[in-house]
Amino acid sequence: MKKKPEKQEKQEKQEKQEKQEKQEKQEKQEKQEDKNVFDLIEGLTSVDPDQLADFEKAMSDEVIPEIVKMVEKRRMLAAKSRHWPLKC
Amino acid sequence: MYTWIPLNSSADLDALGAEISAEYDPQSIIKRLRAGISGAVKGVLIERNYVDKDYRSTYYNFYAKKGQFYRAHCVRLHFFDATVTFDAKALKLGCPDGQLQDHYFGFIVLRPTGIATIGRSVLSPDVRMGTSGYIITATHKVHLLGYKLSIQGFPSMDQHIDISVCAHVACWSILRHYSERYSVYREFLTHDITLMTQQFNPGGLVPSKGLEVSHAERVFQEAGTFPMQVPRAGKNDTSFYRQLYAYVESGFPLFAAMQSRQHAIAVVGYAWHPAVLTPIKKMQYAWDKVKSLVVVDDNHLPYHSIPVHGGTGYSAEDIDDFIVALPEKIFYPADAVDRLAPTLFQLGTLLALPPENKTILRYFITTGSALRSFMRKRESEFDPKLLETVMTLPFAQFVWIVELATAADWAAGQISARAVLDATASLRERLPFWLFHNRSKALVFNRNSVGAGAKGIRELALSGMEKTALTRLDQNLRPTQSK
Repeated sequence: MKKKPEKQEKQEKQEKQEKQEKQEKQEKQEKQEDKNVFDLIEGLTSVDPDQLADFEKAMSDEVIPEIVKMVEKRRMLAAKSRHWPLKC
Repeated sequence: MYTWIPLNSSADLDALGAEISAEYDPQSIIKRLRAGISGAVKGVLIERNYVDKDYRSTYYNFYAKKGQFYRAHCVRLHFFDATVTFDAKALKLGCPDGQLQDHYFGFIVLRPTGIATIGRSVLSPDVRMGTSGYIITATHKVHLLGYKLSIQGFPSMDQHIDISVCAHVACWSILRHYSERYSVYREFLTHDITLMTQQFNPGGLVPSKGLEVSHAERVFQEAGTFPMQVPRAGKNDTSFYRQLYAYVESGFPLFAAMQSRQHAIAVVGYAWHPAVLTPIKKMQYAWDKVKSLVVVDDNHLPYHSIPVHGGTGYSAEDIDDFIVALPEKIFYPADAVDRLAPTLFQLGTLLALPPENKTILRYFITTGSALRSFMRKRESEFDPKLLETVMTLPFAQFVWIVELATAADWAAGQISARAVLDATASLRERLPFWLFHNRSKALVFNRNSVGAGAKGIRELALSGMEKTALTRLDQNLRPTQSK
């Protein structure tokens, strides 16, 4: 069997190596994108979720229902004010 | 074709009467300029036979169809300071430092319509008598005698009366600002606006019979914006005014309607009460610090200042509905931020905040990139870890900012804490935050996984910020420098 020329063999080897490097780089990049944003910021520490219990309760019981009510109220008022004439 | 009128006093404006023909109603223009333009304007260049695209849009579609002859050309008045001279023979403008741009105060177009002749105008707020504060502006290009000039201002004009009314003009002003300021919006001419209000071309004089608030909403929607209408819920609805201020502070000019006057204006700025250190007895909002609003009203020269209460004409109290033409990705309304902001004090166990009854709250919209740019310019104010956090968080395009300041902070243009909310959050989210920080600690919220809740919060200890300035984020509006 005829042996490949040395130059061609070297080129093929280089191409293979480049392909492998590219693949590794891509995999590394994908892993970085999959990372949680918290893994990218140094110095973060956990917070006891119980410390937010009062805030979350206030949001669920008072704030969100009031927001929804107010948004609905303005929607109803807007249905009327849409017909105000403007001509001055 | 060009005439220079030097102004040593406002009485010299009378010369306009001899230079401009009656169809441009020079006497009324002289009167309005005398009352409205500051003494810093020392020269007016009259440019005749000016082709104004907005007038032409109405000329081709209306005036040219009338039995009465109307000219196709306009006159344009350009305003300059004392250093500018005009060589009438060589048709050259000159100034000692060669920087003509720095001595230009803008222009007013005069239409040959006999009445309500002030057409498309862009003036510097700095030369408008009685105007102060912060104003929404864009850069408008001006070509004059081969010079390329530009002017920072907000567009305005008189209503045509016969084919357009106040509401058309308010829509036009806002949309022209958008097309100059943001490349995503196209330009609409006066006639385009009158057509956009209707589903079909009503023809004749129908537009002059006025329009309804819903028609204005339709114009903004047709123009590619996402209009949000906010009506006032009764006389004591202070939240309505806080929201009005918040949108203006965010750089969105507002289409404001006054039902009792059947009138519409564009709200384009505001002025604070003087920053004097006075003790606070209960929680306040930035709106409580507003002295007056700056509006574009087609019955006045631009940047008309109206008080919050009282006054001889109308005041902010007369505004009972507004439309804000928002970009697409703002889902969390000001109503939600207004209610959420005082609840932030319940996070006081995690993050030291000033006492609720000694705090001034201010909220507005900005972009994530504008926030990053603001912090980058003031790197020395922040712990590098906080900077890293802000640069890393994957903000949506728009964020709501809530700033908490004490009376002392307010007087110095500083804050004690800042919360960054997701403007794309839904109404029912319990934690619509990206970040909340003071000088010693930051709470960072995970918005990368739905339902992370309280478990998705981390804290970051900050150092080196105890005594640094923590500047109020003021960058959407242009401060007026009265001349």
